[in-house]
Amino acid sequence: MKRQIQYIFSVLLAMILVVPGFAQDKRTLDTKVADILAQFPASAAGHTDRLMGEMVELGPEGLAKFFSLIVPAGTGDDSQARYALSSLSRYAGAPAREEARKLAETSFLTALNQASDKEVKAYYIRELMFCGQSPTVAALAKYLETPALSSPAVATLTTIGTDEAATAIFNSLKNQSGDLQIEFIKALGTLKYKPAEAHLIAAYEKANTSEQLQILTALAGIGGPASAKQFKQAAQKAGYAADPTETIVSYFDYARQLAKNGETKLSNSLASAAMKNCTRKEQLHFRSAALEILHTNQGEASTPLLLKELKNSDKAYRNAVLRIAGNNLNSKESDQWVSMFSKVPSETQAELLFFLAPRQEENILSELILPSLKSTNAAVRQQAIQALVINQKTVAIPTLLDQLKQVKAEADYPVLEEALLTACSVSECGQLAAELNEMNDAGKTVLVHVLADRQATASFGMIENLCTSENAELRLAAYTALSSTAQPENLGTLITLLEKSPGQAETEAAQRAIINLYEAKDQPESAVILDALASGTQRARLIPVLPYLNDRNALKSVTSLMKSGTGAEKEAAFKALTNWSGSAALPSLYAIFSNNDSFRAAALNAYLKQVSQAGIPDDQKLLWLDKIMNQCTTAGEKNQVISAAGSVKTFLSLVFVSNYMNQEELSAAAAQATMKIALPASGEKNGLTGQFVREALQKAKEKITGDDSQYYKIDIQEYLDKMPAETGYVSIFNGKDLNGWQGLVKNPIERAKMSPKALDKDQAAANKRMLENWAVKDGSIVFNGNGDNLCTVKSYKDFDLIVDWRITKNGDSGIYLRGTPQVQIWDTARVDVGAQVGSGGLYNNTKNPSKPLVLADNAIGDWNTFRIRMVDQRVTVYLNGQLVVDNVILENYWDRSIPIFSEEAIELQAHGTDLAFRNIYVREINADTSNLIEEEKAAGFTSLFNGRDLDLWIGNKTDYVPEDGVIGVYPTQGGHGNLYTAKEYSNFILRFEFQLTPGANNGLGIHAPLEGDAAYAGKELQILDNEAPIYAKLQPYQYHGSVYGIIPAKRGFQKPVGQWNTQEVVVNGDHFKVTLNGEVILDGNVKEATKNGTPDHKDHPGLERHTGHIGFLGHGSELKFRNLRIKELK
Amino acid sequence: MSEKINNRRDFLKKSLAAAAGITIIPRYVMGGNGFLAPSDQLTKAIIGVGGMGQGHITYEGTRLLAICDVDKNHLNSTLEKVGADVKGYSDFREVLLRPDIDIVHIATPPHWHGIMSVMAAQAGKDVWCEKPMTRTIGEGKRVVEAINATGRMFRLNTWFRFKDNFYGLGTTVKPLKKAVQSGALGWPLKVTISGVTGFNWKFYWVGKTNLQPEPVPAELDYNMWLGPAPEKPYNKHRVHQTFRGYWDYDGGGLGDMGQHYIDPVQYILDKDNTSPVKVEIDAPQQHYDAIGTWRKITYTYADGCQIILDGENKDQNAAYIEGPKGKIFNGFRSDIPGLQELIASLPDPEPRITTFSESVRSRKKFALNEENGHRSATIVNMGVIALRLGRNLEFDPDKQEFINDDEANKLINQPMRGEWKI
Repeated sequence: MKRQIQYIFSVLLAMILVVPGFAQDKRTLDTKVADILAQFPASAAGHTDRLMGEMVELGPEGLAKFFSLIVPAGTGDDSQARYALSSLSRYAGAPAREEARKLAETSFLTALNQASDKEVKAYYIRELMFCGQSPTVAALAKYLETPALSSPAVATLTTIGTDEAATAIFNSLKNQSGDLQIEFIKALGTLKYKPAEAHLIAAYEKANTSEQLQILTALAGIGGPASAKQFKQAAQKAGYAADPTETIVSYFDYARQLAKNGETKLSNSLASAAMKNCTRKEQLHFRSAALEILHTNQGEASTPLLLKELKNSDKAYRNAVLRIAGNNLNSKESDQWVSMFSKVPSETQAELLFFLAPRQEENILSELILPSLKSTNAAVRQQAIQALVINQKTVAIPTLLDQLKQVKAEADYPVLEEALLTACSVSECGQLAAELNEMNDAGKTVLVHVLADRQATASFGMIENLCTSENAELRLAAYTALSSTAQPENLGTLITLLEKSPGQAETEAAQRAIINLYEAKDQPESAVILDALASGTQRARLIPVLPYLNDRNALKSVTSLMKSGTGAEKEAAFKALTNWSGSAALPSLYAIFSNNDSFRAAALNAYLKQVSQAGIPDDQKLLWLDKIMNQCTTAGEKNQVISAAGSVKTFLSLVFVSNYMNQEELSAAAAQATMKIALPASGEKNGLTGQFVREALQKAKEKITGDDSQYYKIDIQEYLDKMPAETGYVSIFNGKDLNGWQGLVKNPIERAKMSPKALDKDQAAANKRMLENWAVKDGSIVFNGNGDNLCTVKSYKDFDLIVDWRITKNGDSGIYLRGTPQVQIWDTARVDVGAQVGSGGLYNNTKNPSKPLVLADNAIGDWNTFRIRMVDQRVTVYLNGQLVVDNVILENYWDRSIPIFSEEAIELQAHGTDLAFRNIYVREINADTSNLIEEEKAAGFTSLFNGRDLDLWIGNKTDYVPEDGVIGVYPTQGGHGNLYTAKEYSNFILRFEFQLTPGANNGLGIHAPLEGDAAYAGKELQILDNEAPIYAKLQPYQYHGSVYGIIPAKRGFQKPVGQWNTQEVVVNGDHFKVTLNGEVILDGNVKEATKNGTPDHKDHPGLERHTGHIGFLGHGSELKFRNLRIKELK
Repeated sequence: MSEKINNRRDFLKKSLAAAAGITIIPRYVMGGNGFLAPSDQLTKAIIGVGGMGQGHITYEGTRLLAICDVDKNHLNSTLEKVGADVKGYSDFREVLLRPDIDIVHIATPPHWHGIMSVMAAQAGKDVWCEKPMTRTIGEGKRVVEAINATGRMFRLNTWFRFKDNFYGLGTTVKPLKKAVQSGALGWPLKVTISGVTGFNWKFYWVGKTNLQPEPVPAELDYNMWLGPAPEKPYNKHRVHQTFRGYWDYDGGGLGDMGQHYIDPVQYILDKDNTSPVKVEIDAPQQHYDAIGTWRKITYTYADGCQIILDGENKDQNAAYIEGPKGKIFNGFRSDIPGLQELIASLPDPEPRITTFSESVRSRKKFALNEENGHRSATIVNMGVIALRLGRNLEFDPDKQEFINDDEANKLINQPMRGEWKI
């Protein structure tokens, strides 16, 4: 052990100290082993193969080092070494790798010899199954008698499977006893080792039951003629019945093997003996096994026997006979079965029909199927109907219709119906319709079913007529068929049929038919139904249709019937409300629920169902749930709402449910919902992160109960363990007081001019005023209509902000971002000031868009949710889940000649009316600088990528994917264009790492606009696998690192493809400097380089640009970036 | 499902039940024509009542007489739940010797499925077996032979090919079968199984490397639990709910759910009598003992049809079925105009027997039987072998062996420990 620990230590040390070389591989063997080992498990097959190639190259000495890392189970983690060695055995065993195979085999055998632990030895022995040959056989012989190793040794020898291997097993057999002996005997049978036959026969008599079982199995596997006597005797003794030695099973295996070995006659004699002796019911499955052997051995010649066997009285056996007969059945044999038909009882006739139905010999149709249609025996007749359609497909239809006209027994109808459905496409429905009047009512019913199933719209008229039939079953079938045969022009007819419908089932069928029309793409006018509702007498029958009209007036009608209708109408109206789709009926259901009458419970169910199914954004769903939660009185009702919120995967939803974990009777549901919201859905990456989420999940883990809760706890813990340590959303309003907020002093520009002393004084005064105008009530911040804005004490740069707000009639407010007005909030009824466009717009913009994209406000008095993102100068706003501002520049209201401040407070605007705010959360973007080293932090570098999201980037986020600290580029994912920094940069130092794939090509855009080819419209620094053969003819100014087309870079400093490269780019005015892996590969001035024209003779207008986005300019290759950080230069 | 279909199905069900009264074989008819006495009810035994086996207790149409488990806790807790006439066993061979049992349900881990199915058939029992059908291709071949030779009925316990909604697609298989049969999509077809098309591959069946040996709990007969599998030191993660993470017993997420979702595809593509000719894997290296995850497995048939298992939902635009003339997406959306109407206008596929007790009584093959079940299990096992070897493989569907790859062929039949054989 000590030696091993030292070894592991030295390997680890080597891994830390030695930087892999590439020009000349001067690594020590230990380092090479460590470098290989560190890559297990390999990411993909190609990677494994490469590692295997490297391992093989290390030779025996190198491989020994891998083996020395294997430790007994439970004494250390040797997973990586086992990965390496198991892959080696499989790799080396693959075709055409003889050198590698020999090396692997030798190494495994040496290691096997040296190892002392049994589990380790067993592991090596099993791996030799893949790469072992003759030397392995020789080596394993000695383990055949070692306890705990003989079983894996036998298994490996059996798999190697050579004569030599079998001999080794056989030689060792005499030294075995008990269970092991059994395993050895079995192996000899598996390997069909003939030399063992005599020994096994001799051993049989003295053997115990389980040994006898294995001896017979082995003898069966060998299949030598000498064993025949033994088998016959044994079967006789067992009475050809199941016994503990499974004699009869081996007996048949033996007979089969005999045939395979060419001993057909002997095989037949055994099978025939079994036929003679297996006649009792419990032996019939053995009899069928014997029959199968005879059929396999004799082919066509066995047909007379099979025909005879079909006369057996046992159904299971008869079917086994037919099944055996079906193996390679030819036409001659088929004829014999046909002529057999008339000689067997009707039950067997039915079986024969089933057996022969798929075959195309003419006599099967003419002599069996067609005559059987007339059979008086129901089973035969029905089987003939099925056989006809299997045999004749569409051609069977006229015959089936004839059959339907003269049905003899009730039970034929469903059989005919199924047959017609199997035969008929819609184009044959005309044949059915033409015969409809020839049928009795039951026949008509069948045809109506089929016409309905095929949606035979051409038959609507006929079906309509049948709706008045006296026959109840036919009438209902016709009504039911309406929904699949009616077309929009039949709506009037359907309304009439609905009004005349004789019973509940017919009524519902007619309703279904009308609903179908309204659910189709080309809806009929809703007025048709609404008019009928107003004028008709059967209002209660029409009400169920109303939810499907997708019509405001329909909802109004239902809501008023709910108030003023008759009892039946009220019931129907409520039911209609529960069936409404979308969110339109939610206010009505809310009102019913709040009225607390007999519909209360059903109203809540319907409300929750509609919220979950409505095609509305998650933010809005949560607002609906929050609203009804306030009306819930019992724990049962509250738990229902909490569970429903569990399906809304938003941060605020998590806030909503996690609050209830403190109430005992709600805590279980709340914990469950918390988990569901926070953890990623199966197969998705949509888990929530951050400190709030972490704490909520920790609490959920404590509170979760019920079935499977132990698994949930594991799931939660695993997720928590993997969750990055970021802060995430932080509440900036504690629900109790205005801690963290302060009053407003002037505006940012004027504040900046104030002395600290003056500012302090004004601030104190403002804070005092604040308390007169702003207060906290019921967990919300409220404003009394007087005074100034409420400001965060803290300043924010880039952030995500969530805030809920509510206004009263004529309300007007807004959210100031970085101390600047504003994301607008106002009563959309104030048309005089243009408020009908809705809230959320950047109201004070003059050059950039100031109006919201859509109107997404909720009714006055209801809560609304803003999600606002601000990165650099740009703002994105979602109102109630709908995008209303899409990445728009927020102009500086205080001085329009300068851009927006880079950092300032968030403010809630005071604007004269009652206001309320709650749920205020901020997530600072990229405040996280964990990937910066101290030196860089001190020097003023900031991170451009936090390892998790592309919040600081715009453009193609489909092909550029953040994953585990890396930006992966996958050009085949269907994205379009480049990825750019959200911010524009002039002079800067950019540091990053990149990893290429063979032939990869990308580029680093500098001073780029968002449109056009950045190589010309801005500048492009090449990112390219220079060494790839496809780039052999590059111009120097196309090498990696070059300013494309302008200044060439030095080639030869890239690491081999697949390794990470580090690069620093300095851009200062026209001066560019690129350092790759520590080597300056470019240092030049673009103006100077182009004073005599551009080297590529192309126009580069981008040379005149001195600011713009930094971008990754994809050229269809996969590659990766990481560790992006930047420092702006003045 | 529409009411209409329901009604028709009920109608058919009732009528078929009436018809069955006439065709019932004498053995089961004691109480006269059409009358099924309690003593005529089919009887069953369940082997393995830990996880999947619990579901088998309530399957309709049969009376439970025996249960068997190698874990005393499973056995005793189940015995408490079932009737007093149910007897408990710890050795399944004793169950097979009972003459009064018609059907044996096999709900053990997969390394037992082949052995038990063959032994049950040889004992004259009909077999109802959990998925995946067998752990190796060779065992599957043996099951087919044994069922055929002894004339038994076999059903595999997955059902999407004939009933219920076809995972996330929100449809049964029938309209898909009709759509493919109609030729509206063209040929060859590519089927993608992924979260995008309706089923997210479950990768929680991942084994652990470097397991610590633990004492075997008193209630478990570990030797019998292992049966044919190699002896390895006990650790609780190897058995019961988590066994699917180890190659010795199953095939991870592919073993667990693969046959569920691949089997209907075989039916839809009309491939029930054949197998793919190629399997290609995109996966990290697999451990020799513990099963890991994979990214993508692609199967190709001789005619160019493909099944793609997209473990990472990489292809966000994937259709469930894609042909040269059109596609069908999740939720039965299609780019073929009027596909729903087209399907409604076409004939139904040939009827199949979808109730196992009906199959047992009529002795007609169940819709998902040993033959097509073996073929869909073969697809799972082709994937398993390719993953274990870390390479793409070519397969001969007639000989049922890999082409030019002895290593792969070594995994078609795998040695069994001790006395166990198939």
